[in-house]
Amino acid sequence: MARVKRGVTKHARHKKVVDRAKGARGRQKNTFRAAKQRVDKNLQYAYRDRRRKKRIFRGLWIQRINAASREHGMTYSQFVNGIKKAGIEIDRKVLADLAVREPLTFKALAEQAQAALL
Amino acid sequence: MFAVIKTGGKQYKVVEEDVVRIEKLDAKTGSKIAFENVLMVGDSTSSTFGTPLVEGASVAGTVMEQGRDDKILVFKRKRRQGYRRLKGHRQHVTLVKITNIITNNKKTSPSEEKASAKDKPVGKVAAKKKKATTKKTSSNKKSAAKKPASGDVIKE
Repeated sequence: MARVKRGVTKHARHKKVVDRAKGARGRQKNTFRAAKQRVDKNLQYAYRDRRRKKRIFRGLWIQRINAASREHGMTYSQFVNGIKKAGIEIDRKVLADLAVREPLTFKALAEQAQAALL
Repeated sequence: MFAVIKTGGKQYKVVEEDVVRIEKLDAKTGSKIAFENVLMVGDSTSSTFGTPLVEGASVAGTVMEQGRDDKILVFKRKRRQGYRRLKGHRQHVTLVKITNIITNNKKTSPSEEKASAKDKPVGKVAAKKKKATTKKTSSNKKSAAKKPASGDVIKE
């Protein structure tokens, strides 16, 4: 009869943590004790960065809109002021997308912004 | 041809045949949805910007699936205080296939001609939001309190 080894539950519990630490450096990916700390910290970072992600992306969109509006002779600040005065409420996510993928549409937007500023 | 619609607090740039993953809408799978909050409509030659909404424009879609996103583990911990909280979260999402973009009540997709023509006379369910468009006031009859039947168009 096959020999029965003990510690099945414990092993499964540990494996759950160690598997989640896959890709970590050094002992953190192999040993339960180190992996547990790694996984806790990673989850904390994940929580924090889900919030940061929103700010980071907004910053990126602003950079893109700035670059695109400067091609039309306006700074970001003037452009945003202009479209706000023109009553356009397209958000920065979509504006950045338009700036990259639909340069003609963005040009029309820039003209509207310019007109609203005068 | 694309349009920018607003739903669930976010804006989406959509093209016909797109499948967009949006915040949950109260609608059955297969039912039709009309997005009234259209911020702009554009194509390669011209674009119309709404101030803030494009008058008379709407985007029609069909609910493909009501589902939930991948699980997110919400983990909070304070060191040396023995405080740990682990909670799973799955956001409710609706997958919507964009069928056509309507500007000034003129259809742009001939393939959808029949489907949307059929929907037109159907009593429309009042939206929760009070964005008063001319079209809405005319069609906003008694159906406000009724549950959306599968044939009805749900406005968003």
